Amino acid sequence: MADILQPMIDAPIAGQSLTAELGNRPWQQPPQYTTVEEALEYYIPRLTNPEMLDDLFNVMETGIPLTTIANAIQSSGVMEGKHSLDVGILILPVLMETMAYLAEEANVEYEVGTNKKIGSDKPSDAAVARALAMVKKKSGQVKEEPEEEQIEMELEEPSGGLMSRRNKDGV
Amino acid sequence: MYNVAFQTMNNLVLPNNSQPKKEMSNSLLARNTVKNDAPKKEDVNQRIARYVSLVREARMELKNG
Repeated sequence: MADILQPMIDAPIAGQSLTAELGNRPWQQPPQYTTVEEALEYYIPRLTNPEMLDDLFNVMETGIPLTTIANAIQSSGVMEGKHSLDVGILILPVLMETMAYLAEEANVEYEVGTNKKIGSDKPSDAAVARALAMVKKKSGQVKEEPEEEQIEMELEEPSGGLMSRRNKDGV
Repeated sequence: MYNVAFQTMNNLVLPNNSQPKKEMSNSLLARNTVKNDAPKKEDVNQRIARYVSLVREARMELKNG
């Protein structure tokens, strides 16, 4: 699960969806393009538009993976009421493949985001989290033993108060 | 955040490009029949897989020159 996480570029504020009346938002209306083909007819000319291409290549060169870019594109389409979320998810592979094709054509370096780099020195976040958890567990086990001894020692101490309960020895 | 694009791309089953085998009839005057088992109407997933394979094929051609 940790492998398929993506960076969060933007997220709505909690409760933001409740700030407008139901049905006023574009995504709460019937979508403009209902089929996958219609949605692709909307997106492909936009992706190949020279003005859009420059921005797209700039984003690709910064190292943002195609998965994230495609997801952002389709999310904006859903928000604008162009298509439903289902259609947006369905067209994701086509958008990614088209962007990869355009990047190859323009000799732009890009990262797909579907596979991890093999042999990279940096360990994954999941591996780091697992190692930290193991270290915490081990250090916790070591510390727990002296604490128990300390509690026992404290119990053995005789209380000096006049009204204190007597122990087994009668002291 | 959950990466939907990663999952859709990984779960995509690309169509096989293998040509259907020609079945020769035993009789001498019979017509050579081509058996095509592929369903006539494609599912939306199959259509998407076909589009992706088309673009990928073009990309590979571009890459290999």
